[in-house]
Amino acid sequence: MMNNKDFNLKENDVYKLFNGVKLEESEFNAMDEEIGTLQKERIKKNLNKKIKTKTDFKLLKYGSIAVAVSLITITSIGMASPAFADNISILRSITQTLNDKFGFYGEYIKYSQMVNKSVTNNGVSLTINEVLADNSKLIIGYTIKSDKKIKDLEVSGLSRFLKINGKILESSGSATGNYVNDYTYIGTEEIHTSIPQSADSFNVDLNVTDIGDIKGNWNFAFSTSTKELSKNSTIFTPNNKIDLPDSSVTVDKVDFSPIDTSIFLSGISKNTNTNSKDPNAMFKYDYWIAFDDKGVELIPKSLGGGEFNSNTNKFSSEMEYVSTKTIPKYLTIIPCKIIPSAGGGVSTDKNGKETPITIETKKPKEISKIIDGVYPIVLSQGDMGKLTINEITTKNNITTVRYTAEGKAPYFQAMDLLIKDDKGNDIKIKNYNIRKDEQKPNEFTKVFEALDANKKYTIYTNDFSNVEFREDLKFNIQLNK
Amino acid sequence: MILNENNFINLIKKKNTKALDFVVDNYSNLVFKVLHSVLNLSFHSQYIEECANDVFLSVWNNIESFDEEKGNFKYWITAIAKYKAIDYKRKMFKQSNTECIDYYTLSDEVNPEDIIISKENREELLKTINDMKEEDREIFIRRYFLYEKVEDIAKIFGVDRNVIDKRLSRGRKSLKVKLMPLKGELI
Repeated sequence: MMNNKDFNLKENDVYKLFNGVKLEESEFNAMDEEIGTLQKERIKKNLNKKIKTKTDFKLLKYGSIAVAVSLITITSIGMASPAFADNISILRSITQTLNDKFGFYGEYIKYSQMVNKSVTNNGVSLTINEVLADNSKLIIGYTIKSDKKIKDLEVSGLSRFLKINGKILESSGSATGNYVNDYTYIGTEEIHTSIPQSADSFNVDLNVTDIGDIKGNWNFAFSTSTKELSKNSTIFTPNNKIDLPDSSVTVDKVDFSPIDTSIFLSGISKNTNTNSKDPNAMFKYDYWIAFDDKGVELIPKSLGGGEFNSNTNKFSSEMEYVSTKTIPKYLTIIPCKIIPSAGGGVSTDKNGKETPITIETKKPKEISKIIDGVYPIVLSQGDMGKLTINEITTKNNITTVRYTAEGKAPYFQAMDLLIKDDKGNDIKIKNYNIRKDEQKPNEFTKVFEALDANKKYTIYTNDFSNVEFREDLKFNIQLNK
Repeated sequence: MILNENNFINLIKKKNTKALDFVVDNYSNLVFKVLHSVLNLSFHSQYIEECANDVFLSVWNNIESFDEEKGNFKYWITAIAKYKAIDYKRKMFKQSNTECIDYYTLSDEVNPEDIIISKENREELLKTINDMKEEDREIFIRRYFLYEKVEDIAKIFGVDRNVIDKRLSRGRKSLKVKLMPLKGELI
């Protein structure tokens, strides 16, 4: 962003002032010729590229909707839109590596079944490295290699090419990935679908027909076992009935597995004027902040999303958190509605035709302070609470921020801490694993790319004015066998 | 949905890329006209296109700054194009180290650098400019943000140049008076 050096105003401030200027076209010299279609198309293409890289949402969440469209893709954004700062080295399991980077602890390696099958077509090789499966989901770790530079693979979902026991099933899930270099991309995708319950294993067919812009055939067939993960999971069926302002919800199942903790729910929307393409049509309070019996907040992994049938108004959804060391006696849930600060998506029909989806957005107010070397720095977060920055140190090419969060949902609040330079550019985050000590769950550490001691930086969060934190809707899920 | 003059602003706000395509389709001629006027023929067409890209990207990234009630999108994008073009020109001349009369006239007479303001006072500065009388404000922005010459502004408003001078001086004074007590950083 350009600063107006004379006034120290930001670009967006200057543009606000421009609302008051009537610059007539006649004040400028006429042009000999008009801008041609070719040039316009070139500009559009360039812009689209730039926008894409700017809004690089690498953790993608999608949910499928039963009627009308086969797959709906909704980019998950806002508060925690992780993007990896650097290339990372792959150690044994891609799924483990990528999840660790986000602070999503879980014993992925232990329960991974190695596939390591590669298919090469049209200069691109796709390798399915490993899979994990339990009764509700299939996780696939994969690598894409090309002899040419590859790009725009961040949203390359595998679920649309998936068959389970020979059938195409509806699915929802999340995907993330990272470029190891210009020619290699690693990804992991978690596909939530109707996993056959009749046996301990099922057959997977993946007939991939396009990778990014490249068409081809990359066909895989392998069998996956759900046994190990299922055996080591503890499942509760609490059957809570919760009345939310826009829906009635039942908590069907809570699953404590070695890789994550999931709450499965189903419900019926009270909204009669539903539109299957409106992601809000199913239920708005789809971000459940969860606390264990000691009041420690569970780390959210992928909340909300799911299936919705606009004919019956029924939906099902899942809240997924990082795995817990012990099983609590109960969970306390605070349902929240979050209006994303930006976003949108595309729905894709059977023929691959894409329709853009627009969503309601609201930007919360930024709360910022200049980093002046004097600590603590306290950042108020409106009604939610506050963050106290105790120390910022730069060593070995990284900057480490140590801080505590106090308030209604400390982990949720702590996720939202960023640093920007005097041009308004955000400093890249090196690691999203912010809770380092389980004994001190409200103390956090965030690692950024090294700050330059000679430059001015601002540390910031927001007031969460786009979040409806509904303490009045709080409820407990008792976990009794 | 059909994109048109009535809904494209809202769709840009919702980050619908098709709405940005609409802006490129409908405002490219205007944007290039502004860029050609400011950057003139000595600029390679490649740079002009790069600058145009920058203008459209600024619209996309800063659409929240556009005020649908007060502003008019055509005027607004024109101002952004002019602002970006001036910025490009500055950068180019800095790079090439070429002395250029045009460049120097950008900072003639009262140097806007006389008015320096701390970041904390940004809000107050904006408020003060917004509180100026409508015409004074436009003159002020044209002079200090779009670097228009006093005589050109005078021509546009159909007045004598000392009228513009007087109004600019009134604007500067109001900035000094209102902002001085805040930080005391104003010269």
